[in-house]
Amino acid sequence: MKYSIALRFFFSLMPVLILCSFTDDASFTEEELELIGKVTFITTTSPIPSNPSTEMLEETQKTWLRVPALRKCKKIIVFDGVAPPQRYRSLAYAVFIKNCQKLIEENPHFAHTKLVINQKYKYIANSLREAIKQVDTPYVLVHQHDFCLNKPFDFFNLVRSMDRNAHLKMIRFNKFSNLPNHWDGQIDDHIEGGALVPLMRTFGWSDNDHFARTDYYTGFVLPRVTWDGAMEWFLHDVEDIKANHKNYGCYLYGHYNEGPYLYHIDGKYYQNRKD
Amino acid sequence: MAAKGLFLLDLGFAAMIMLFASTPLRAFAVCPSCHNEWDILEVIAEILPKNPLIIQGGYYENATSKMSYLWPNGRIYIFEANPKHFEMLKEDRHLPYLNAEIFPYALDEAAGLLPFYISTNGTNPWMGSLLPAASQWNWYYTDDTQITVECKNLQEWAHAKNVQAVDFIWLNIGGAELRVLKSMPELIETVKVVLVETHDREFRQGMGLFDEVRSFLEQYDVKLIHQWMIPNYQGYSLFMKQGLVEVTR
Repeated sequence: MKYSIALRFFFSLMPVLILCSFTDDASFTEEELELIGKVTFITTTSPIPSNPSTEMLEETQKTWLRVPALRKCKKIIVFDGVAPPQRYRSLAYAVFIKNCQKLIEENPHFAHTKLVINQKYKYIANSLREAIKQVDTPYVLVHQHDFCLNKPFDFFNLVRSMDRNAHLKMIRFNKFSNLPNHWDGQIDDHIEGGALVPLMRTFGWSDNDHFARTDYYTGFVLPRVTWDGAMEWFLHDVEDIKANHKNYGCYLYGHYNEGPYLYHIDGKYYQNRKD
Repeated sequence: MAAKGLFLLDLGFAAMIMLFASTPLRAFAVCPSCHNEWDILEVIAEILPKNPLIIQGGYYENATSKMSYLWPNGRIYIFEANPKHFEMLKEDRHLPYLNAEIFPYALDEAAGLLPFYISTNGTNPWMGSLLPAASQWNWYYTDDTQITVECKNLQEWAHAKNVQAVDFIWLNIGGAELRVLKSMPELIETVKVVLVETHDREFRQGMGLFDEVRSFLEQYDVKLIHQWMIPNYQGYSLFMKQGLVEVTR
């Protein structure tokens, strides 16, 4: 009798155990490990009022690391320099960088992360340029420090799709619903060459969190960035994207009318819980 | 009796009108979008006369264009002790429009020659001070270069220059701000606006802390208006002569 209760209890827990194995300490197949090895997860950060605390960085990173594959990816955190009008934040920012170094040693989520520190203020694109120099994988996931991932996405099929279809150059997670708007234009589901994940073709270019080919960055994006500024200033040109979409290769992840994948907690206004 | 009461009431109204008329306080809205001292210059310009006399301790390369726009008729004296930054100041393309006079001196409580500590290998290439780093902060203030600079006492300098009053003093001199403010007892009586880098901890040896700066300025009826501070670290504090503005939020 006792054994049957114990067995029934064990079997009732089985679905939970199976689910945990997928969502937490997932074990990967060889092919999956190979796909993981193709991506470097780059986080861009810059001085914000909540420095020197790493709380916001940890919060946002945690949402991304719910995708088990991302926990195993190579990681880079790239620090922009301090903008001259924010010079008074320099010391707190330097302590923040130190705290990140500590985080790498102590927090398993940040293990094997390389830090790239820009001494000068370069804005996101040129700051990212320094990080890209350190990348030895064919793809990058570029994540800004204050974006949370709202819901999981299919990492493996996304990478498989990029492997198989060279037209997919940049796949962005939308902070709005996947609908036509003034930025993305009349998005549609015309995917040159097809994909294993749901995508929408967009005619807008944004540096919000996205997957991209590393050589797309080195050969197309960064050469266009001719001074310190936001990438959109150099790449968001709806008419040019429409005319030359093959070159831009930009898509939104998800179905038409699907809700946002990103939530912007905005570092400019983020307040630490302890404050 | 009733007439007398009405008369007193009228007198009261008249007194109130006179009171309001005699204190025309300019509303000073502290804008939350003003993240830095550069933004705040526009707000300060509304308070100052059109031809203010300004003393700036520590060159701030991003402010010269705005200052030349805001105060084309002002008189601005800029002190910069770091030779490299002084060269940059000399080459500043906005300088010809600024009606400024520039000096390669450090400001301090007494005139003379003193060591000046420069840190070149941090995220802030502008770090330099007469004060050496406190031991627990020397990883940040590396003070890897030490030079000797000529210091000026602002009060003595003002006498020599026949400067009687100053409208706006802006100090960002690596922790020696309080020493300088204390060294100018006559000028401080005349000042309308003080924008100063303030520190919550003694990052450099002998650094004047924010509370000390505030207490000192309050003795002269110069009150704290707003701060852009990282708590427990550093930032900027804006002080103004009492009665000059009415702060609105």
